Amino acid sequence: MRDHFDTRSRGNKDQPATGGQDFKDLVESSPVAFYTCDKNGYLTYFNRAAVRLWSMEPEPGRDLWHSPWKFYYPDGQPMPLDACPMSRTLKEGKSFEGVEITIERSDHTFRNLLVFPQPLFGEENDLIGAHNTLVDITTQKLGDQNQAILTAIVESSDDAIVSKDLNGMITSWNKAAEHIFGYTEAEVRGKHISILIPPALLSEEDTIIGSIRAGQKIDHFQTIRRHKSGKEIPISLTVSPVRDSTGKIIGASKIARDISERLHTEKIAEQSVHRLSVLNAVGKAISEKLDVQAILQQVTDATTQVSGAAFGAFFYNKVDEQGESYMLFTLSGAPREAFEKFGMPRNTAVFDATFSGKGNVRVGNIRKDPRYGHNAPHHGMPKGHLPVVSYLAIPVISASGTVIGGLFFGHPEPDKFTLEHEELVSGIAAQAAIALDNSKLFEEVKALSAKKDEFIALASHELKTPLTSIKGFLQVLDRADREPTDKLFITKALGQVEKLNALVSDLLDVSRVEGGQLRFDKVEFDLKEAVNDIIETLNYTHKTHRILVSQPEDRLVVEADRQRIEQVLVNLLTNAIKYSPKADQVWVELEHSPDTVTVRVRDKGIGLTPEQQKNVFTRFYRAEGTSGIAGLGLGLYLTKEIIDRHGGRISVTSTPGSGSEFSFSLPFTKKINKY
Amino acid sequence: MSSLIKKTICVVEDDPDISDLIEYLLADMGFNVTCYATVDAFDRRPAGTVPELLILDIMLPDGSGLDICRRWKADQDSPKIPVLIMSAHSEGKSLAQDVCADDFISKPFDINEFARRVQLSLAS
Repeated sequence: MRDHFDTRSRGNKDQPATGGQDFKDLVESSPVAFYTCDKNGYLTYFNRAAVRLWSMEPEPGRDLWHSPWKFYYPDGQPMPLDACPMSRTLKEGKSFEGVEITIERSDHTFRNLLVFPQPLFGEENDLIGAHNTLVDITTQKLGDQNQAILTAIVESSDDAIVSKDLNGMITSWNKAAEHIFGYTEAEVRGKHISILIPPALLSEEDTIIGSIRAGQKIDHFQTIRRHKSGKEIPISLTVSPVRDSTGKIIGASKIARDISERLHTEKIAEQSVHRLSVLNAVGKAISEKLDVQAILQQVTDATTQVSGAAFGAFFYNKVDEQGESYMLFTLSGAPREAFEKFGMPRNTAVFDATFSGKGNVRVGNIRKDPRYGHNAPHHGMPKGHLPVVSYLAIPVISASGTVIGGLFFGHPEPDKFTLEHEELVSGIAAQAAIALDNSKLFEEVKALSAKKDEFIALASHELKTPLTSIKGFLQVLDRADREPTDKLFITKALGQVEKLNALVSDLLDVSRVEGGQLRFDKVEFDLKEAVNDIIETLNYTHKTHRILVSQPEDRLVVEADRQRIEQVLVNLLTNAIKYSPKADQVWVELEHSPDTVTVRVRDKGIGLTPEQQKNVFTRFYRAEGTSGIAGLGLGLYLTKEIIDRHGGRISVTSTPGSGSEFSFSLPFTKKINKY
Repeated sequence: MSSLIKKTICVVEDDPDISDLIEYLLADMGFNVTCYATVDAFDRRPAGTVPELLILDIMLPDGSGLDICRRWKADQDSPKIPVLIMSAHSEGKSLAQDVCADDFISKPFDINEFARRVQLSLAS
């Protein structure tokens, strides 16, 4: 097909085919597309580059030159076929030199071309066809576009983008660089990059250039650079080596981001985190504590910290008889003496706003406030007063609406306190008010409880005084020879006196446990001996049951309050007897391990349900179904308290209807001594 | 009592019935008993009689038996005689120890135990 290339068809027979076959080969292998067509536009010849451009192989003589294409102007507008340079050449016989067009090929790809259509005339000078040379400029066009895009990106970036050669000389400078550093491109191009570097950091440049020469990129390096005005700016630098087409490093591109905004945001974030942690700590502390002084100190410290005050104080809203003083309570950031010198803060116009519940007071400069300086004798802060200029006062208001007190903050510089500070402190003040209310309730309850304990102690003493004489006189009566009935009655009366005495003792003990006043008189004694003594007494006084004991031969020496441990044994044994009315035996077992001695008291009585077992050591708890059996529900509570406070353990296992086993263990203080 | 000269025991107890009971018990044991109902009455007791034993109640209308004991033990001129403290106070025993009392008996007491303690105190 390529044979259709025929130089003669140019209609110039006088000129021999230059080079003949050689010339044909030259055209054939040219990288520039070339074709010829007849006057009707049918292709007569095309070279390989043309086939590549068409991306198809046309059939000479049958396919038109334009058949696979659509045409566009360079700006993308469609170009009618008639307007194509080649169409015009064929129609008008005109030649064109380098007209730019865009073609869309059958595979919908686009190419940018420069076309050079030339008419071919016959011997009669008639138009017999045309040839066209098509130069593909797509790549160059794309390169231009990319360049334009890159330039636009660089110019529109908010980051300074600067390039420099390996000597540090600035070679390009974008708009943002102008904005960030204050120099125009003209001012800095060709200057050394060090004009941007603060003198103290000049050595950084050597390090940077060193890395660049070594082909290493520097990523997000935070440093300081200098604005034209001399102002220092925190920036984040990314520096990359720039290579030429052979890969040789010829310079560096440098992206500098102004991070003052970011650092500022980070600082704010850090502050909020800090504030949150302070708030959290204070919230936790005041909800856990019931001690007013501790709560107030915590609140004063925390609020002084979050408000950035130089000093802070909490004053209680207490008015003395002259209607003046407020009681100073807690201080932060200043020693107590700083206030004590002046006596108490006074009921002045400035303080009144807070204590009378008029809300928060926040003043940039209190010395210029209309309320300031009206009170004799100082008319303002007395000499030596803490230097308050910025002033913030937040009332602490209880749930009932009364002003409990006020939080006061000062700073020696003006305008230190913001609305945010005010809100933060108000939040804490609200929490503090709740905590203070609770603490007040707690104090009241504590006072009532103390009164109750005092009453019980007095009552038990008063009850025991008549018991002493009743018991004494009954015993005196019992000495003489009497009728058996008299004897029996006296014994019964004495038994009741003992019961009454035990109840009174238990009541008193409970109030002492509650008040934390149960005292132990610890001595070393043989627990086995104590158990045997008690069993002997009980076997004598409780004829209904036999107490059977099994015990090791060793002495079981413990360090404990003997009287209290005996009280425990009596409680457990009398309970075992009391709650096994149908049985006639109770068992006691003593055993020991190297560290502890254990006493088990077992009965075949009415037993306890699992629910009852859980509650049996609770104060005033009485198991259901025991209403016929006397008791206040104090014995086991006291028993557990006594054992707990000796570092021992007490437990119960029981089956309703078949009996219970109570056991307690005490730690050995000494090794077991053999007899 | 076989001894011709009766030993004197001084009792400070504000409750008249307990006072009577103690007086009866001690007299029965063969002692001379002088009873006082208040600290003040004890302080203003006639000079001359030197007791062999002091029995003191803790809670008294105008003070405490503990104070009497403390003063007695601290005063160089007081005769070196035992002091037995008695009380319905649950911490009585340790309170008595604090003021260097020789013994303590809690109320209500067993009269036989009371007699034993008195004899023991006198024997020491």
